[in-house]
Amino acid sequence: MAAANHILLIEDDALSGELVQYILENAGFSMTWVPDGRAAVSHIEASDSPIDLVITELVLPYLDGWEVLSYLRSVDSWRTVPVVFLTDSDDESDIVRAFDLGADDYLSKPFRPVELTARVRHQLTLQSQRRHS
Amino acid sequence: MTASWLGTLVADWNAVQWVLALCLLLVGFVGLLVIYTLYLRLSSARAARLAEQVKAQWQPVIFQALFDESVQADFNSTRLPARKVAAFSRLWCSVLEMIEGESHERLRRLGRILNLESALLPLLKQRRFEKRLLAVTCLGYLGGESASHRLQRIIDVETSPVLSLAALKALMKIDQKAGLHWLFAARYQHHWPTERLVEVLEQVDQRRAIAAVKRAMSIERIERLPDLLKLLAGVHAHLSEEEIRVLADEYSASPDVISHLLPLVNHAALHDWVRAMLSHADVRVRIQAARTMNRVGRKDDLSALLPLLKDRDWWARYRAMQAIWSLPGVSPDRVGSEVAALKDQFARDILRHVAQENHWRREARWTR
Repeated sequence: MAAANHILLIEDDALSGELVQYILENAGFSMTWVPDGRAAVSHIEASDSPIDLVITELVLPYLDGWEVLSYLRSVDSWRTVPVVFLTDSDDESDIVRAFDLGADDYLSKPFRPVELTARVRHQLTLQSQRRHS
Repeated sequence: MTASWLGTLVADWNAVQWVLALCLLLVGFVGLLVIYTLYLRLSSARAARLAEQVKAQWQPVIFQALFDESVQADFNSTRLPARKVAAFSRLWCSVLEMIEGESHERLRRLGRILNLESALLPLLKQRRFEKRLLAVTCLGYLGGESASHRLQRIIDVETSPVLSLAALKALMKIDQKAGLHWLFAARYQHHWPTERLVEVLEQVDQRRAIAAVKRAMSIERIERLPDLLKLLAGVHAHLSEEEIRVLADEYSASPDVISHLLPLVNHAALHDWVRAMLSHADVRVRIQAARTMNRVGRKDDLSALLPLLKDRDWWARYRAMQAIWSLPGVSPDRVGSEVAALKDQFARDILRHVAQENHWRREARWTR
């Protein structure tokens, strides 16, 4: 049996973090949840196990979602890891900026749990195809 | 001598008694404060403990109910204990606020199965504002005819504008027709701010919202017309050329109406009217006309906008400069030379301000 894909969730709201964690674990993913951008960067730097996808909120303590994304895109080993924004903001300018900076997907809250799972799965499939091509 | 000594002693004794009484009062007051503080701390700790208990018991059920309809069958005959209703409702509403689609519907059904509406009734009667607000929000998520009636009653009789507005928002989730009726029927009774009403109208289907505001425009008094026009602008409505012309003619003497009418203009055909408004005597009209030039302005409007850069009002100068910056076919160099020719310090300042602002916007968008 193949190992479950590992997802890093960056979310400062406890209930929201628990909800997303539940939804994705329920769909068979393995999850690590950190509450802010600085903890995310520390986790990424210290992490031995590979992370297949990052889900991040936009507004976070210490380092916001933009800064985490910029950091990920500046490190060679993390450049191709899919980053999905799951955020309260549905501003056009935020959506455009997320894709400009290299995000792979953007989902606003309130969201459909099945849609989140489908989008995550889609990103992981694309990532796997990129690796094999 | 003895009498005077005795007199002093009695007077001193009285003073000592007064001081002692004051000290006792002070000690009593401090004691009461300490008891009240302890009571608040204990209540807060008890509420936190209860919220933890409710979370431990109900969060797994709520999460499971998002995907699994069969969970609800287990709770058919379950009634929430009164002391847990507030904590449960807070959790239930918070999850509902985060999700939509089928899972949202399943969670709403769980609330109905638990007979949450009846459980919320005591909360609606509580003195604590926060509890009543929570109950009103939950009623909106529960839906149904009975919740709709309760919310309409709250809008009708509630004295707090915050609570009545929350009830209106909740009602819009259940019954848009009734919600729109109450929005216009009760808005002056509750003094709801127009900005908050725009947020409520954003929940409604746009065409329906616009039709409702236009209906109100045909029956309301003229003093209320600017507010209604503001609502229309808030829901991004644009009036037809004909509608604007009729209103502009009818209310040409009212700068208040004209200044609220201009944000609704999106037609090149009205260009000449907007341009004429740039030199209106009322500053509110000049400002809105300059803003509208952002949408309908042409290259040859530069000459009409330049005099506004010397306006005594900062906002008029600012909006005029923004409009100039957005005119098609006018280069920044041309703007710079035209402003220099004005030989006006205020015009030069506003050019620097807007140029810097645009530079920051570009930087913010592309370099971060």
